Amino acid sequence: MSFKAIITTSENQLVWRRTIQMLATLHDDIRFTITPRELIVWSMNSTDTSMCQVSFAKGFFEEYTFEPENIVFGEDGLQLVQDFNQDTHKLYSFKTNGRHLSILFRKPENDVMKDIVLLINNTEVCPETLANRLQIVIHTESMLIKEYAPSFIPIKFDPIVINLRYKRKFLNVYGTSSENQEEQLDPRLLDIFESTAKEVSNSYFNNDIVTNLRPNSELTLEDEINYLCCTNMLLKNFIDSCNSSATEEVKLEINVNRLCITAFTRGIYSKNNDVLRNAMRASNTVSTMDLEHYCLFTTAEDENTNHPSTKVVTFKMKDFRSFINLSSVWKTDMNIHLWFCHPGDPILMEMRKSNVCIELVQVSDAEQGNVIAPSKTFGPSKGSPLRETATKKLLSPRKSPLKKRSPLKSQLRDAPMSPLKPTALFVKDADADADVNVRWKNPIRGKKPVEESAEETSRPASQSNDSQLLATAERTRTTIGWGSKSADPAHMPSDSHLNRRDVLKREKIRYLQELSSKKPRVESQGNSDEEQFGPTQVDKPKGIFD
Amino acid sequence: MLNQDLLFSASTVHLEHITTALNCLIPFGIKEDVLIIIDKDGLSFARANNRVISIQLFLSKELFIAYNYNGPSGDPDSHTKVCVKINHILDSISVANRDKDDVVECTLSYNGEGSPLILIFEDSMISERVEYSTYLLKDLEMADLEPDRDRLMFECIIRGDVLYNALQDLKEIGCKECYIYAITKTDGRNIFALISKSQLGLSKVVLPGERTILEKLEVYSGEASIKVDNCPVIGYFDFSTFDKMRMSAKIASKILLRKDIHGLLNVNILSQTDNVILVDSKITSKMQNTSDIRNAQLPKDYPGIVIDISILEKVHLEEFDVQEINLLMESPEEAQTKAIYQPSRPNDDGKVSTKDLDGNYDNNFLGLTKKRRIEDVEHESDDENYQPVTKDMPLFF
Repeated sequence: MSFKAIITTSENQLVWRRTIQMLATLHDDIRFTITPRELIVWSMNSTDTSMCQVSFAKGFFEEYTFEPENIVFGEDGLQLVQDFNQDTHKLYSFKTNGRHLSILFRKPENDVMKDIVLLINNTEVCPETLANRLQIVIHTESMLIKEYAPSFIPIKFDPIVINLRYKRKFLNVYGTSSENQEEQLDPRLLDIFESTAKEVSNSYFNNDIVTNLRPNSELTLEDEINYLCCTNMLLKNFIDSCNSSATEEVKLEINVNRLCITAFTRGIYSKNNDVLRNAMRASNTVSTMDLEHYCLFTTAEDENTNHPSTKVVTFKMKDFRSFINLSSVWKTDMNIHLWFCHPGDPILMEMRKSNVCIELVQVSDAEQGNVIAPSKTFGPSKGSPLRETATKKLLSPRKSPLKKRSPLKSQLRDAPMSPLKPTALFVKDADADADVNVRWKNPIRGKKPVEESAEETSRPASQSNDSQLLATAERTRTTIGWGSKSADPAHMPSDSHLNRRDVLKREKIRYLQELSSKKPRVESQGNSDEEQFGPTQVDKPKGIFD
Repeated sequence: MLNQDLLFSASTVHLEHITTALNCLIPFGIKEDVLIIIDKDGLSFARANNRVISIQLFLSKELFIAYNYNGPSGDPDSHTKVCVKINHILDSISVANRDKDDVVECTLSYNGEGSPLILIFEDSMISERVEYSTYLLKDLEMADLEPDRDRLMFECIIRGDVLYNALQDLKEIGCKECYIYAITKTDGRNIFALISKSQLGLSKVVLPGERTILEKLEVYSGEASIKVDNCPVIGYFDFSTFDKMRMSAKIASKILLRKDIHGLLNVNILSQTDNVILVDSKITSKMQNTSDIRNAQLPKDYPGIVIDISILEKVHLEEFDVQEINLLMESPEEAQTKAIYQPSRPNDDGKVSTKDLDGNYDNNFLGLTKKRRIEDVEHESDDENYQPVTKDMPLFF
């Protein structure tokens, strides 16, 4: 036998069956790659927009033998890969019809499968009729023995290592200098770093991944990667709550406060423009407190504003749904990990259970909604100012996981941890004014060329601008203050007359800003008082939008 | 309502049982005519398709409360034939039998050529009368599918549900053509298997060989009652035809399969009512609630539904096909051991030819198989001559 694997327990059989069925929905062909350590089953849809890869570790099978040495027939599938440590590994890959497989592995009517045996016999002693065939032997409780032998085509495995790339990047950005951080990271997040690092270094296909190490510790925009980990129930509830069969796209927005998942349904109109189905949007919002972990790629500047930058990624619903539904084969809850970079870059999702690891890679929409504020600030190609802000980032991304890392747990266990937040709020206060300036500066200077606003984003420039801005602010204030006298048209500058609405708006915003900046201060003071009661202090329930 | 003057009249309350039985005819064409043969022992429903498959379903007269057939005087073997569409009878029965707590009594009557077949359904309140025009088609194609009982190839008795599961499986994997494979072995391991030829290539379903399931399997050489072992019998059928027996197998308790030398497979299906669930659970529970006479047990002396199906083989198999099937049916271990043992045959004779050993050497890339061979040889020659093994050993160190 060139390859033999036996699946015995009914749970594993269910996992296997559901996996094959899910992969068969993606594409006609399912691809298999046998390695000495695991069986990788994967499939990519015909438009190359989504890919699902499931790896079953050796332990998943009751028996697992792989003897690539004696493969004589179909040697096209044989392959040697060299990993980073220059060790070579033998693989055997082939593709076969997924629809057929899902029929063969379906649950028999009023019968139970005892075991599933997968065999490949491409040795020199194999009868011709069984060469290049995946032999499947199923023993059932009713003592039937079913043997199938669907044919396969040996192929070469061309690993798509987005998962490893993303994980490498993720470690580069967040996981590298966790030790010298003054604040303690959540040990569970550290565990994730550790296991991810282990996975990357152990993979057979990490040859050009590990070498991709960042030369210096400076982070640039290209390094952006965001990470999110939550329980599968959260996503499952979302899918159940929206009409998932009619939904085409999912938008996931996350900032340090909340995660918002939106389902979009396209409208359908008949010939006469009658509405058959309304276009619809349904969104679920949860506080980031309810996530397990998250790491967002933010700048120091973003963090201190009242409106933290929001990371957005939009992808298709169909495969996402089948991926999430696949998680229901395990009765227990499990965590789903998501990595995504810029809009337009693929999103990677992963769930892991004992011996099985399921990964889904989907393209995301490149279209940027106007929601993404930071893109405006960053501009397309910035010189040094951008670098500078980006370097500041190094602190921030670690800060955000810190602050939020398993917020529920940490707050329950040790209340003193949470004051981190109030301090953040105080900082915010100080910057809030500056923010106000920036904000109401925009309407006035909205028409100015981009270069100038870009300049302002750099730290020193914006500070120097502050005095100017303040002056402008005073002037508007006086304009408003003397509004009663405005009957005299001569004193009225024509340009401010034109902008009267803008000015009013500005004042309104300013007023609101002041209100809102006062409020958190009061709240935070209250908070810090309460928290001194001790670690057993129950948290005040938090609103979603706090 | 029974009228003694009529040619035939019978009444029954076991409508569900009759529905179950007549459902077996559905795969043979629901809108087609079925021939009802009435004689003194009961009713036979017969139907044939394309002269390659025929079915005959027998309902014994014990099923009826009253059964009256006044055949032509004096002739005990006399019978009357009448032709109706099967869906007419099924529809009438299912309409009359729907969700009523009352007992429905059904009376069938027929008064010879030219008169209609009359069904009368009566419950405590309502009486319904249905008449179907009948005409006997001159050549209602009844193929002459009679097995040659003296020249059988194999005979097999198997439990119905097991065969049903196997047929169901073949259907689900999209079987196009199917083979029946039967072999008895001297060591007592009998194999009876269905082999499917479909898009997936050849697949096989081996039916369990346990005595309680495969009650009897005998393979004969062409002349009757001479049993032969180690000689496989293969039958080759079109699956869409073969599958018509699935409905019947579903209600069967025991199935007797016999194939004669002319390629005719005769399937006898006996449905013993006590170990077959004839109604679905919904109705059963309702019956328990109402618990009345409706729940009437089938008569004690009622033999059950008897179905007889004959299927003609497709074509005679080519030698190549036979080889392919035989190869497929060799269990994987056997196939392997065969291939491996052959080169080491000389060991058994005690002559260890260097040529053979060289041969082993050439197969160096075999890897693990090589080791296995040593083990195999060890086992084999344990009791005979241990010598060659020891001679073999150094080669591999």
